[in-house]
Amino acid sequence: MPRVVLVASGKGGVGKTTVAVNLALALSTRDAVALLDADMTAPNAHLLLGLPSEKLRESNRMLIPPKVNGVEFMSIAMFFPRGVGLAWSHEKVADMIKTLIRYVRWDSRWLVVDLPPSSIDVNIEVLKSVGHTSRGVIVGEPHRFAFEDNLRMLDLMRLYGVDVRCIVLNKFNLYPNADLIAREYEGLGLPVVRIPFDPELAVRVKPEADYWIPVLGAVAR
Amino acid sequence: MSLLPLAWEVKLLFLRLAPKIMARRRELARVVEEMGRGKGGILVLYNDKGEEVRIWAGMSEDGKPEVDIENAGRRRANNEIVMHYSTFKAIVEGKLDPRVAYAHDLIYVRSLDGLPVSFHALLWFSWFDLVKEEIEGLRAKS
Repeated sequence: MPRVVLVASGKGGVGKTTVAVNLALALSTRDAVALLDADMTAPNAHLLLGLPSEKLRESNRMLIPPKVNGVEFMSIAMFFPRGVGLAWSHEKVADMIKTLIRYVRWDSRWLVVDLPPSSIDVNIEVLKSVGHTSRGVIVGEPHRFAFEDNLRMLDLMRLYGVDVRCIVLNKFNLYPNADLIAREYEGLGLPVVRIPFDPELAVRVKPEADYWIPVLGAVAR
Repeated sequence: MSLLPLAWEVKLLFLRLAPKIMARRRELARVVEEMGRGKGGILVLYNDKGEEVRIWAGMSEDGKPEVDIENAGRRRANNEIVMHYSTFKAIVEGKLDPRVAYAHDLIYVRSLDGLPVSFHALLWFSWFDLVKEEIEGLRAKS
């Protein structure tokens, strides 16, 4: 099993997928990396990374993940036509998560998992399955709502034994009280990585950007 | 609703499909190979009258694609796929994408070999994609 990095957030729309994909690509310049988009209802990682051209195969009761841009990649978006919603019970979602984590032959040294926002059941399944052996990155924007939701996410990650390495505060320079919020996070004993607003991140991946270096450092140490 | 028993209806449907399948057997054999030798699944079809038909589909030990309606219950299978006959008909007639049917909970998959249900479902989707590509490729050539 590779070293697992869980990229999580208590709040949606704060740039979790952007961080997960860029982190995976930045890590892939030095090591073999896999990326799992664990968001069953709103998977978006493929919009940044791309979809594989090869088909999923099986070998010895394990699924072989296809590669995209040199990264082993699995996402529910690879299997369902665009725009189709999943009318699934918790049981079916939990089964899919189990398959994607335990029954894929991840050959990489690192597995970056892009989790869905909040403490919904998918996240609990992942935390129960690999939490105690994982490193964690929490993503937020420096405002009160995201802070309150991330307190809950941090509590859950620590409950399941995740080694939370840092808090990434996205679009840092856009918020007037950003420094105040950053100090509150620091008070929780976690390094804060400040990512400036970069409009290019909305349209392309930018793993070469300097602002990822502290995230890489926190995750890989 | 048809007045024929479900078993007859299914057999008639397969008879209608047979020439099309035979015309593409070489391409289909290649994509069936993707599933691995000796593997098979049971397709369980039911209707509103409470009738049920079981069909074994997969690959024989010597690597040939096979469908068995008569002895489905006695064949070794890795998984069971259950759906209403109308869902199955819509899929084989190309009116419904099986992945959409699975997403919308119209298909129930049961694992018979200890692997998660989704493991089998994902491989079925991958296999279905290959079949679709082969058929589209064939259409483009003709």
